[in-house]
Amino acid sequence: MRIILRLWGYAIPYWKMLTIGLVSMLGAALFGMGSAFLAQIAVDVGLDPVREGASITFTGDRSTLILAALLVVGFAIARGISAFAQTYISESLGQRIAYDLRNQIYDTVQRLSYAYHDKVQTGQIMSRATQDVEAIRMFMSMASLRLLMIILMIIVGVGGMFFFHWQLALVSCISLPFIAWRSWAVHRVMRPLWVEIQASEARMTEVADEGLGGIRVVKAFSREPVEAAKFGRAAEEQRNLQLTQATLMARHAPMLQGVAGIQVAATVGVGAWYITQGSLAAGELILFLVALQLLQMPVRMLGFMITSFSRAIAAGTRVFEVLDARSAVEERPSATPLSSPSGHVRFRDVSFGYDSVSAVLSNIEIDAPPGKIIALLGPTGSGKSTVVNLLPRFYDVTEGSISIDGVDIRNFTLDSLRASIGSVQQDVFLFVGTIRDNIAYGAPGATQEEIETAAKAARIHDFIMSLPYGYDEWVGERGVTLSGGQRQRVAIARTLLLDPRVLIFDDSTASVDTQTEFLIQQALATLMEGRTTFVIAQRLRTVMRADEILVLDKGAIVQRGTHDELLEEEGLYRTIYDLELRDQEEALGEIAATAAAAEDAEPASEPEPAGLAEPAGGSGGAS
Amino acid sequence: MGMWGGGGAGGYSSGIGGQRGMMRGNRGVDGWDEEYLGKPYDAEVVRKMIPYLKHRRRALIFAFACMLMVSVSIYVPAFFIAEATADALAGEAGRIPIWAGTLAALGVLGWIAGMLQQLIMARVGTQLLYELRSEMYEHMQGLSLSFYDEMEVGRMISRLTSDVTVMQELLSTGSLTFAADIVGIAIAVTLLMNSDWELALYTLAVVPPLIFVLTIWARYAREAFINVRIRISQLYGNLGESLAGVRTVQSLNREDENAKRFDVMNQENRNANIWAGTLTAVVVPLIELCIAISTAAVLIAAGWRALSSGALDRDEAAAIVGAIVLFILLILRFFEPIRDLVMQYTMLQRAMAGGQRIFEVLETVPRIRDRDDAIELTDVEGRVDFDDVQFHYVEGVPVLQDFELHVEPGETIALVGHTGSGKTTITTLISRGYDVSDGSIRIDGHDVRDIKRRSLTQFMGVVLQQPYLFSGTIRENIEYGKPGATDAEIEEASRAVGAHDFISRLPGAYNHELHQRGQNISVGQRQLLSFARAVLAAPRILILDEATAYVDTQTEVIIQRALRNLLQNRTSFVIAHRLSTIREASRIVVLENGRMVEIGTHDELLARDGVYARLYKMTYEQEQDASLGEDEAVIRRRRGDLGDAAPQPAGGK
Repeated sequence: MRIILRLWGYAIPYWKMLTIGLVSMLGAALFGMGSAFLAQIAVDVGLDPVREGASITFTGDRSTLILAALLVVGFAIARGISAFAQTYISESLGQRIAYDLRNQIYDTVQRLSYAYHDKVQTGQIMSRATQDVEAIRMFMSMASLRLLMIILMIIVGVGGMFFFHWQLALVSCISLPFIAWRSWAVHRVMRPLWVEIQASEARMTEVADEGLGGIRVVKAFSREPVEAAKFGRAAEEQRNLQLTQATLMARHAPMLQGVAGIQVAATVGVGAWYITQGSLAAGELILFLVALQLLQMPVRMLGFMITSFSRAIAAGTRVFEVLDARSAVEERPSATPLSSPSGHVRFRDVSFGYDSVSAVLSNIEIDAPPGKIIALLGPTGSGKSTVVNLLPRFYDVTEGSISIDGVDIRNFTLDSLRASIGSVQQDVFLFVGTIRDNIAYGAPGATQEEIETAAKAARIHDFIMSLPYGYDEWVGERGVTLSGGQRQRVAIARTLLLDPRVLIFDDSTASVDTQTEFLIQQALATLMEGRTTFVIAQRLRTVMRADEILVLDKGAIVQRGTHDELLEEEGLYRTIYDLELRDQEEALGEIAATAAAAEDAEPASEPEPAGLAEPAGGSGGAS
Repeated sequence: MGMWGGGGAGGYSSGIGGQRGMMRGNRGVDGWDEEYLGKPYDAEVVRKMIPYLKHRRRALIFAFACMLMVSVSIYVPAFFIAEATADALAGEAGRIPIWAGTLAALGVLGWIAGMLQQLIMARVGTQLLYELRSEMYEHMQGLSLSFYDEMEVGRMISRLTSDVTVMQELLSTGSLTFAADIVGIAIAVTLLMNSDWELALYTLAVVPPLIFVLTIWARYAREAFINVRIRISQLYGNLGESLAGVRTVQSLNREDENAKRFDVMNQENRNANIWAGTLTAVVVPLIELCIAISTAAVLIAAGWRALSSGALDRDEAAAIVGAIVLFILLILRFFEPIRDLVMQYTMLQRAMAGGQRIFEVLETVPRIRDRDDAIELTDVEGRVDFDDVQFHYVEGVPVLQDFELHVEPGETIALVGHTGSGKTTITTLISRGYDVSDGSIRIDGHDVRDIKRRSLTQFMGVVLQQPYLFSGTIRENIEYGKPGATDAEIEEASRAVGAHDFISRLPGAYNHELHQRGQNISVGQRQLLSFARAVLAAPRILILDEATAYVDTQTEVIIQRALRNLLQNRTSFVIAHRLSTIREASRIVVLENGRMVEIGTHDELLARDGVYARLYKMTYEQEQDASLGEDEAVIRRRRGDLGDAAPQPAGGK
């Protein structure tokens, strides 16, 4: 009930609308049932058939008849207007509340920290913002005003019947509780069945997604029949559930129709008998029949209303769960903006754990003076990415502190902190839109000139210009599909446009060909210029250029120093180097050798041969 | 997130934060049209449905008969009620039980007939669509890989799910409701005309203007409902994307801008829905007004007649009241089917569009089909010959030219070259993912086009750059290529690639359940499993496409060892960037722009000091001028998509 009250809270801003809705609802119910009485008045008063022995004389007068007939039309118009207003207001109220809820969810979710998004799957949030909001909307527009209206219609209808002829009314109302009960019972079974059907459809989609997405493997192993059988089973399950549902409906709906038919038979039979007895007028029988017809809908709707009520409670609970989620990273009330920092970053005795049980990072000490490059190296799961995620406060440290220019980063406003830190992730996420929009993603107001400058620096401009639509080319489904290297360069341009003082570059995948790698290296060099940079490095060139290399293992820094220093030491760096970088190095060695040979033959025009200082790598060099 | 974007009518793309996308050259070479909105009656779709309905003729005829009875049970009672009222007025109480009994019998008849009709249609409808769905899926699986290159899986799934569901709605409820409505109107009109044609004409006078108004209404409503579907799918698409990219959004400080844009889309969606709701809200009052006008007309016309007639015979007078009763009750029913017909207009239209899309799937012809006289391979030695192979995806843009290569059984061939140089194309051609444009590829002397594709792939193994696993146990995944393998065989294969250790550490070991795509184990482990899978299948010809690109160093070392085992005694084609793998190949093929430019062993090629040597020697600065491998490839492909329609690049504004 608390949930329902809270949901109703969303209707408060629309109280004027609600009031009009209530009034029109009253009107609709009264005028609706009123028109049934009018037909009766027309027949019984307007015509007033009087039976005298074997003949009947109509003793009514024309003006009453016409007045009654016109009133029928007048009532219909009045009822039409109020019914329209009532439906319109219900619908629009529901839509407005859904709109408010969606905006709130979007805002909340967008600002929740990484910790939340690690835990909660996108699909879950999606289903809350879509299905659950939809359920609430249905409840608000259908079950709120309309529930009142339905109850009112039933009261007026049944009350009217009793007013005219209570005996016949008793006979006529006998089936109504039964119809209401059956509708409710069926809806109660139908709801979980419906959920089950959706779940089964999701399973079927999964099977199809797997079989079609992995078609290369399926075909390679000639397993089409097996996959088809798998899908067949899923489709069969779906069919069976749908059949169950349809069967249930087939038993239910015609039965209600049939019961209504029998009810009419009973009313007509008994009513006609009362007419012969003279205690009931012909018009009154019409009234009863029309009222019965009009009562069908509201009585059936009652069941639906009740289930929509319980559904709204469930949906509301789930939606509020999202809205009430607190971000693990929050801005201090006293936070001040970070303006034009020089970029001196210090990690002091930083420890971090996703939960209180196990620490992911322990006692990290980093001193990164402005403009220096710090490389982080280590096996998967050693905590490299976590270190750099702490800096823009995507997570907060559990112990110790991080400072920029000597001030704890928790004293800055989040906006200003993140604005001074740019990061290029390994998995570059591009949004549906043009390349231009994607580059300007962090700075929506950027001019074409600024965008092009950034793109040029990121070595992606020439590529973009060669595409059929240039900067207006769409990324993804309907446009160009970019490779990993190209995406990375777009991300570099995107970051350059923001001109951050501190830079994070996650470089751990590197399945790109040599030329792309070269372009990325060039772009990266431009990007790092004059900025404090943290690189999660895989490329030899980047590692060697670093001012300090930190080797992480199991969340702790196990080695630090420059490339040359670390090569001297026995330790993880040497192992990684041997495993990962040796190939490159060897290739470079060969090149150096052949280059040297070439130089012997033809004295070098370049002063510096392609050697270890500026290693060129090879097509085998990227890993 | 894929599920949310599409909605019923395929995806509508929305730009970053919601600018509508200009529709760019449609990618689907196979021409699946997503924008088709459907007509309410599409003769072609109906014609194509007929074969599916034919063998269910009897059930359908029976259902139709039931439906007729339902219509009778709904529209005829008014007649008996009128008779009963008339008799009651006339004081003939004796006939009343007969009328009441008839009415009750009609109620029961409608009940039973309605139930039977719906039960039959439920059975026929769900079964039919189950068959359609399975057929579609099988057909999709039979389509060649070239089709999959161009089609997003999401679009295919949307056809399997939403489009079929829409059809189902039509079959199980819609189609017969339509018929029932029409029959109902016919019965009502007959009864009215029969009872009193003059009154009937007064009653029906309101129908033409009503239909006129509803037709206009339908046009607006159609637009409004389509608009609602587009808006909601855009809104959900935007939401899904923002969620998936939330980390990027936060790191670029884009929350406020995004919230603003989401708000705009959210508003558009709300307004579209309110407009559609308004249109719906108009209909009921409109119909009721018609009912009221008709009722008033009957009351006045019949009443006038009655009042002018003075004292009447009992029966005559009763007949007049009876007629009024009949008319008032029938009028209440009469407008219902008219309203339904109009309301279901949109549903019919959607169903036809859905049917159109379904048949589009079924009619997509696989490009690669077995010849009728294709042979079955029983054993493969592993000789592969490329005779002057030419290949292009798009006419005029050659991908592979004059490719001549003869591979002895057991040889390892390394393919080297830039992205877009044709390496992957070569491996795809061997397994007949595409057919060569000219020349031929022979395996053990048989042209691959003469071999049944099933029997061809049976002897081939592929390990891809991104390992693809299926949900199910580890065991099921390893035995994927050799169902029914023994435990010992499976373990042996796992040991051979060094996967046994990590598998036995998992809870349940070989019975450990993998999630979809194996997402609950690491990429490296996934790749090890896909190696084990390939080893167990023991293919004669093996293709490794950058199989180690995504694994970490430790795993890579294990895989390197496994690789040696795997390559032994098999003809293999390896695309790799790792020198150690390339060096160990029997021969290295160097490709440039779709041509083989060099071939030989590592040492030979280095000694030759040609392209291969240059690949290592050349400094990047020089190479950059030469060409832009990957960029060039993407640009070419994109321009190829658009064909002649490609405009000149538009730079800045």
